[in-house]
Amino acid sequence: MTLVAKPPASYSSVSRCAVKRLLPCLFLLGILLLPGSLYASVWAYTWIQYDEYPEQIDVYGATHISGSYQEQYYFDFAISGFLYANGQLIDSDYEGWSCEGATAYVSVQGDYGTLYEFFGICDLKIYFHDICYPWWYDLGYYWYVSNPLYSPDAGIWEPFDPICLDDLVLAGIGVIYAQVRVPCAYPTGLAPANWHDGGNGWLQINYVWTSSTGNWQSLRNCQFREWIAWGGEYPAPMPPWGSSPSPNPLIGDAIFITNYYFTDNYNAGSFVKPYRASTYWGDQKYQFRCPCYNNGQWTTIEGPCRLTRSIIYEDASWRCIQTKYAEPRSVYILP
Amino acid sequence: MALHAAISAIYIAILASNSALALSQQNILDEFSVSYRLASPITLHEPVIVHVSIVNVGDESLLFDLGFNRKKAFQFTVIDPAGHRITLGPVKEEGIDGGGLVRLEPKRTYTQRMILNEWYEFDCPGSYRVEIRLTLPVQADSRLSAVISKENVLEFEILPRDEAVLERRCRMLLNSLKGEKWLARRSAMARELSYIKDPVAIPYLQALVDEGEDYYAINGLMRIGSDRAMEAMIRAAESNDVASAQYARSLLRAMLPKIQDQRIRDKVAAVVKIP
Repeated sequence: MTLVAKPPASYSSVSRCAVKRLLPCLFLLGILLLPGSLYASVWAYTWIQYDEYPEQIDVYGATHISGSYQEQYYFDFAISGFLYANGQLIDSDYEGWSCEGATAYVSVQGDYGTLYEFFGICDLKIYFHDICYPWWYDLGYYWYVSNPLYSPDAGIWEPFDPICLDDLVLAGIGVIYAQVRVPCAYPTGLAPANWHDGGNGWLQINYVWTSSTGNWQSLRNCQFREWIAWGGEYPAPMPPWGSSPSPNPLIGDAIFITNYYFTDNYNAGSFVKPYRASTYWGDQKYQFRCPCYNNGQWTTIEGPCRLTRSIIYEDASWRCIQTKYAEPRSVYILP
Repeated sequence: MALHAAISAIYIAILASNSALALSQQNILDEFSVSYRLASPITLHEPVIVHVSIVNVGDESLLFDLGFNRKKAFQFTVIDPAGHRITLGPVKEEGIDGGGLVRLEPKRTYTQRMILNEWYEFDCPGSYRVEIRLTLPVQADSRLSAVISKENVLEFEILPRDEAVLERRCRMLLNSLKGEKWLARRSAMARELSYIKDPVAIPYLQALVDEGEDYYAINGLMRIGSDRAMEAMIRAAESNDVASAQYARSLLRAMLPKIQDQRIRDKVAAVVKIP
């Protein structure tokens, strides 16, 4: 995890600070001691803003963080942050989270915020209130980002340098501000894994896929659907078919990707005597949509691949055969 | 003697495993709490939405299977205002199934919204009683799995049609949907809107096309089925979503002979390319 400190975009006024008087020295010290000009610039911004005596402290103004967080497998974050003083946690009792970004969704449960975010940038804010402690305390905060699903204990508390505060008690609203960057996750490589002849004209084919991020669980904001255009002897003649699929083309109910596979269930329907040879087919496509991919438009991931349904006479019996991927996948001897 | 002892041991083992199984089933049943919530009263043509909450009140993770697209495990029986008892058929298990397996950690709640209109139309006002039986296999981490069955009853009132209420619900759903980036919520709202089977919903369903939710728009308009609904579906037939546009055109083509209004029939015919 990497959190990169950047200067804040805007500031609020902050309490007078005794250290302000030492500003030039501290600024130089920051540059000398801390590697990287970004850190130095944060120090600089931080101290320069301590000009006014406020009724409230706005931690945002003093300690704005703009961090980026980008690794391979993010879809589900736990993000937390709180204040500490003199190295001890204080009851920061933050009010909640917000996530301001074009593509983010954040849920808050109790003291824990969970970001469901799949792509793009989300500006996360943690709001504090009623921050009260004596002036001699050094105020700081930790910023915590982890993926609880994969590494429940692997989150790193990122300490940031304490704020030097002036006298009196502080009470107000603080905001920790950071950016989270998550790569767009979308499914790729959808392919049949196995199939099962369910009897009575049923065929089940299981499909699997991978995620562009390598983690299928990052696809929870994506959907699959099927599309079938029927052809051949269509509408299916009755007899021998008991029904004909419709409409043409057909779109199936979309499903959410809550699993690493889905099952497509094909039913050849019922059959009506007198039987005779007949064939119709469906050219089937699978499509997906994810808000981060292709403007959220439905995109074909597999197909068109032909599903063929035939009634044939073979080995002294009438049979319904369903073929997909050029092989018979289910054979039903008609009653 | 030795044989007798061996048989006794086997018998005791069988008894023990049976009682352990029974105990396990009872324990799992106790740890699996199901409740249903429904807003009542609602007005005619509003969708009947049931909130299902399943709570794992135990100390171990539970794995359960709700079946085809998380619907198959639910069986409904409706007693309509006239007192008729209607056992609703199971969900149609054709098409793609994302699976129904759910893992529920201790003290956590699984929730699901179900639109009962998928099973039953609720097409007259009055008092309804819905009996819900949930039957599903549940497995606890360290114990045997068990098939459990829980029954609940919902009673609610459907008031006469109220255009203002329907309008408000349509507007609320569409506005909420517009700002929603989370597909699960967005689709749920679009689906809910598509089950408002009333002419009031037509412009809102038409607006769903602009929101990229063509599929729900088309199905909602088909459920309404009026000439005006077919006219509104022209927008879906001209949508950028090629698959949905073809889907809409195929449905419009089938509906064309049923359209009474000549002006609308001509418009639809032009879209589906029938002279």
